[in-house]
Amino acid sequence: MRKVSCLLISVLLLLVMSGCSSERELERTAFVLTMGIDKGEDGNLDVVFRVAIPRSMDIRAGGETTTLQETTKPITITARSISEAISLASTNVERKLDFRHLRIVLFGEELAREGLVFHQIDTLERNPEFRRTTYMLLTEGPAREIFLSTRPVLERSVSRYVDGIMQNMREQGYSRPITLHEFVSEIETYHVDPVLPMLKNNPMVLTEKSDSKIKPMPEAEYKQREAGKTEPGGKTTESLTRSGGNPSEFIGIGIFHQGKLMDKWSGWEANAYNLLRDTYHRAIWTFDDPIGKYTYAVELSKSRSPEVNIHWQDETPQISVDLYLDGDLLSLQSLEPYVNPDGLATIENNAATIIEKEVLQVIAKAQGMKIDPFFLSRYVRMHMTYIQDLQALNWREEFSRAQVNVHVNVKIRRPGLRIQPAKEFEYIGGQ
Amino acid sequence: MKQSSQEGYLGGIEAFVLVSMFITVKLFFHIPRELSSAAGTASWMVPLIAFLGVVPVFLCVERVANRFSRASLLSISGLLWGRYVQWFLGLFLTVLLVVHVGYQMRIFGEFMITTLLPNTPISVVIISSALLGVFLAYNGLENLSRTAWLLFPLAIVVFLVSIFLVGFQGHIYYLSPWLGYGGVATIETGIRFMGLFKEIVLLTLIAPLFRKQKTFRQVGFGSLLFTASIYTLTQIVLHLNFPFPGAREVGFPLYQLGRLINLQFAIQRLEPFMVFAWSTVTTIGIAVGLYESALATTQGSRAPDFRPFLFPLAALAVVVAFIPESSIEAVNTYTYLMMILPIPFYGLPVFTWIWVTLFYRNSEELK
Repeated sequence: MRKVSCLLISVLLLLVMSGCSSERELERTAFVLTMGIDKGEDGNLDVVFRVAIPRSMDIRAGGETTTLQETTKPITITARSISEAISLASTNVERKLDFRHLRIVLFGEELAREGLVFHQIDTLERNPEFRRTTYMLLTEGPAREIFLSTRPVLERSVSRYVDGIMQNMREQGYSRPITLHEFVSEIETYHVDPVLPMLKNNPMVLTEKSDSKIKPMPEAEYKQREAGKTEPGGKTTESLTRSGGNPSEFIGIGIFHQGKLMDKWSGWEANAYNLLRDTYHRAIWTFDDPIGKYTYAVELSKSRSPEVNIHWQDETPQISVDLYLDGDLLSLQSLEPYVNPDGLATIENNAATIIEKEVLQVIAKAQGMKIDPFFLSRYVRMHMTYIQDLQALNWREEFSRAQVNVHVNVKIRRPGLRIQPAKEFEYIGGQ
Repeated sequence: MKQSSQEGYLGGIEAFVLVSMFITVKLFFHIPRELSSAAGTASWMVPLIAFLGVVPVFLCVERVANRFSRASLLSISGLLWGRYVQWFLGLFLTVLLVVHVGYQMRIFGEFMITTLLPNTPISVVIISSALLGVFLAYNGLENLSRTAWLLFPLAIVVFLVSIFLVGFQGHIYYLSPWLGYGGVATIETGIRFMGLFKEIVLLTLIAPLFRKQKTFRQVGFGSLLFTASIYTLTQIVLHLNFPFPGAREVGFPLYQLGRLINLQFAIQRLEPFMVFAWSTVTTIGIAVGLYESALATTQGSRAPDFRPFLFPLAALAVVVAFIPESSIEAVNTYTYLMMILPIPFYGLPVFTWIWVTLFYRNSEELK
């Protein structure tokens, strides 16, 4: 009886072998690390996959590559959907495409303008290979163009490149890193307009590209191109004045409303947006000096979450926003001896006034467009009891006619490794 | 090796873990989504309201068990209404439990295929889980409860770590508006979802395995309170991370939550650990379900041992698992079962308690 039982169990255990039908050998898998989606012709999509070549990254295996282009290969397929593109790609890639290591998805601007980004999201959500922690970006112009021209300054690993860029976004505030989960959540949340971080090619750097290498332009040409640019970098949506480095710039945000890209905001506006949306971590701010000449720079971190109070007075919403920032003094170009209680108060107040002005500007911009990417309605819903009230709230309309008062509290905690600026007493430069 | 047909006594803590695991199996399925769909942002209150609703039911179970020195409910029904009623109730409970386990196996199979084993035939997952369930149940509840107790630290640590890691990534404002679709609507939903704890009926069948009435009572209340807390915590974390319109559309909510854990370079892609722990709990739950159905047959028919019933009932459960044509059909039917099974599962002990209170007098009382 025991032998029969053992035999029976052994035969039944053979069933478990069928589980091997889901096996995925590393040698038979092509990992897609980044993906770009553009609007194609006749309602098609142009889908670009960047497939990893793991062997080329392994120095022990003889890999001596130095650039992203040598560790990955791009493949572009035109298809009606992402799923169809994936299936068509298998007709020319000898391994099975696998998206479990996908780090970033780029959407072309045209796709976004025509309201087609939301229609592609479903594939990314439904297919278990795609993770909701994948980052999403909006490209200025076609995604494929940026996809093919990007040249990381240091990294040859896509994962580290993406992680590094997103970390910088968090630390500098010129944009906001957004995952698929965050984007979808904002789509599904009442009374908020979702945003995507912007990625664009710098035309100056693109002209320096030759044979997949960036060759910095001569000084004379740089001066010539620099001429006429009066606005500080990041203030407008225009590309930075720059030579060398990666042609790609991760700066600014794209604002969506009712599924379509509605507006593009600059790096400075993204900073103000982050303050209001509570996605601000820290950033280096450069302010005009109160003496009217020179600048001073402060690295400001969020000291606590924004305090927003919304109430209605005579049917007009009154929004009061208090923002709290503190940080370190980074530079005093004017060499003024501000590092004393009175001096610090002067530059703190000056910084607060400038930030207040910038925040009010983006609020006014949003009010003009009847959108709320800042999700200020969260402060209203926190006082709500029933979902029906939330659904009945006509927030965008209310917000557009709201009276907004912003108060920024800036506190400079540390002066750095220098107290008052060095000053040669006989020096009278700059006067 | 001769297998004894007699079962040993159950330890309090082991029984608590076993009943808790049996109740929480559906947490890993689609149930958090159903709660969100029904109660919106107030879905976290639903398990607490359902718990309050089930407490009186368990009090009835406890009173009846106490009155008859922890005899099983089916034995008590035989004593009260005769052996034919006992046989019928045994058969009735067996059918319900087999259907319940069958659907659990099907949804577990769908979960495995959707998440980890996309190319594996679902029959392999279902039959494998049934075989494992039979193997675990065959050695009796004493061994099964010890296995559950051994695996409990792993399951609870993985669950709590994942819940807290993902909870800290969430936003408190997604929990508002605080009363969902309304206070009355939420209470109504809580009552409709009393089936969250329907597995507590297991205690009515295994009551003879407890040494003391106090242990029986503690296990019942303890496991109800513990599982209500687990469900509540899960719903809070689900809503911290998903806005309510999105939460009701998430395929496997707990798995999706686990996949959201992403602490930059340090901690991400933790879900394989979680799937392992959840599969373990689910397997124990399926084994308990098979055991319970065999026990209902045994007690209904007054058979001396449950083991001969295990294989045919497991085979029936596998057949039931293949009835739904699609994953969505399986999920919808399971939710429907969760709503209607409490009627017999809670109704029978409550009715017995009322009957005993009103009509039954034992020989001592008659003197």
